[in-house]
Amino acid sequence: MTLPALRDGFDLIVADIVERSGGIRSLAFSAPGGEELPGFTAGSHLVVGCGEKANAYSLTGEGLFPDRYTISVLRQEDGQGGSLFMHGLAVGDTVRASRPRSAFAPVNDARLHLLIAGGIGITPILSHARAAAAWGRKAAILYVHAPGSDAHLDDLETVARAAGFELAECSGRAALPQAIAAFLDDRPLGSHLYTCGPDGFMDRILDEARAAGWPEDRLHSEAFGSAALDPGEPFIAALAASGERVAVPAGVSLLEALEGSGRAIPNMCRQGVCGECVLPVRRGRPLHRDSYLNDDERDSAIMPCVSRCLDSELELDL
Amino acid sequence: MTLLAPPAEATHSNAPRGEDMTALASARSVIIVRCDGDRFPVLVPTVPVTQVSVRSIGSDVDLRDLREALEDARMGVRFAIVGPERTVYAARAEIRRAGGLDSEIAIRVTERDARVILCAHCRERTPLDGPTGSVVVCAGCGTALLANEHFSRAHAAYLGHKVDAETAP
Repeated sequence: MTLPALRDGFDLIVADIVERSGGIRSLAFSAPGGEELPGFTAGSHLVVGCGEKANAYSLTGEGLFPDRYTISVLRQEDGQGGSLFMHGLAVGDTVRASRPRSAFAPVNDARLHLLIAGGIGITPILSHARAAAAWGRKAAILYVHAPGSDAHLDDLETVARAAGFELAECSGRAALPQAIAAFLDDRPLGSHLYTCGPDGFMDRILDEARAAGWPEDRLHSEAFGSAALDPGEPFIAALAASGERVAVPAGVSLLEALEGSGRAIPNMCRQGVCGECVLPVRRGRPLHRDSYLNDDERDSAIMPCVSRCLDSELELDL
Repeated sequence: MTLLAPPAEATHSNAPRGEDMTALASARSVIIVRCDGDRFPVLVPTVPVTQVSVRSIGSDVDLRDLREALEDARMGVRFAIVGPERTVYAARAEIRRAGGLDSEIAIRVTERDARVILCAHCRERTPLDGPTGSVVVCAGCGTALLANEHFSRAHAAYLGHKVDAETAP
């Protein structure tokens, strides 16, 4: 069976591999015939088939007429296997990949783009920095990383020097609060903020920005490696159209339960990020665990790939 | 079944209504934009406050003080624009051009009768002291313009078109 995200995808060849510090490996993919690949918006990701599953990886290029797609993958020994698969690839191997998907795009009329990366969250931030340079936008970059794990710092320095971007670096937790505050301070009206990194890191950045008076529509974040969710309580999904009742046991997602009952729900990331599998809710209080729906949408919609129900029954418009 | 269109129940309007001041709640600094000398009291949080004035002269708007303030404006600033509709919305458009968002702009309209009509034919702006539905002679091309209930927030003006465009011989 082809994973849904890869159905409209294509085969790519591993064209180059670079091992970097901190257990990070960069891979470059090209089309089998070497032809130009579809362009993409800064901050886009590629879904790559890793054996039985598929993972989303941020593209690090600026996206203009690419002849290669480049990604960087942090090796996670205790992960779900995706990173180990990527670290096992060799030049010349073939992978199945989606077309680039954009869920973390720059706001083109921003007066200044503030780019804040935490650890491996550097990948979409590098794409943003390169695109800002290519399009003549103004950007400032803050790269927070563990001492010695500064993958792509050289690339950032190259971009920043050529485009005249401010580049700040912070290694180690102790210096972080001051680095964030200094980086956010005294920015011109019309700035937008983009951050990618571990969830706790991004929360911290966004809270700091809110406290400094940044409205929500200027804050942009890209979640990755969603933390393992707890299995949750069992509940019943009542389907309004057919009257059918589908049991959702603990440890099984609502999406999986609906698929098990023979329903095809369009879906993509299956980790509450892409928004593809959204379903309308008629009754029952959803327990939201996604990072897609906004507050206004949370009363009437649910992302069944990660979210559950606070009540014993959830009625869906399905 | 009738071939006649049903009577219009209410005139459609996109004229701005329902402005509010909620944007000020999260301010770290406030710029109060006083339009046409309006003195309406504005309640702002205890943060640094500066005031600039903006004035309509005929159909033009003098935005120089606001532009100067916008050049130095920093993130965390909120704008409170107070005064007659046509000037308030000209100030809002200027703030948006400088990168401000609606979530950073609080608006209080104190008067709506003074309008500017934007000519659909020559793009000249003509002042109108009266309601939409009035006819005004365009200051640019001399066409008799019907002032439509159609407000452009970017131009801070109501759209005017040749009143007898469809029926003139």
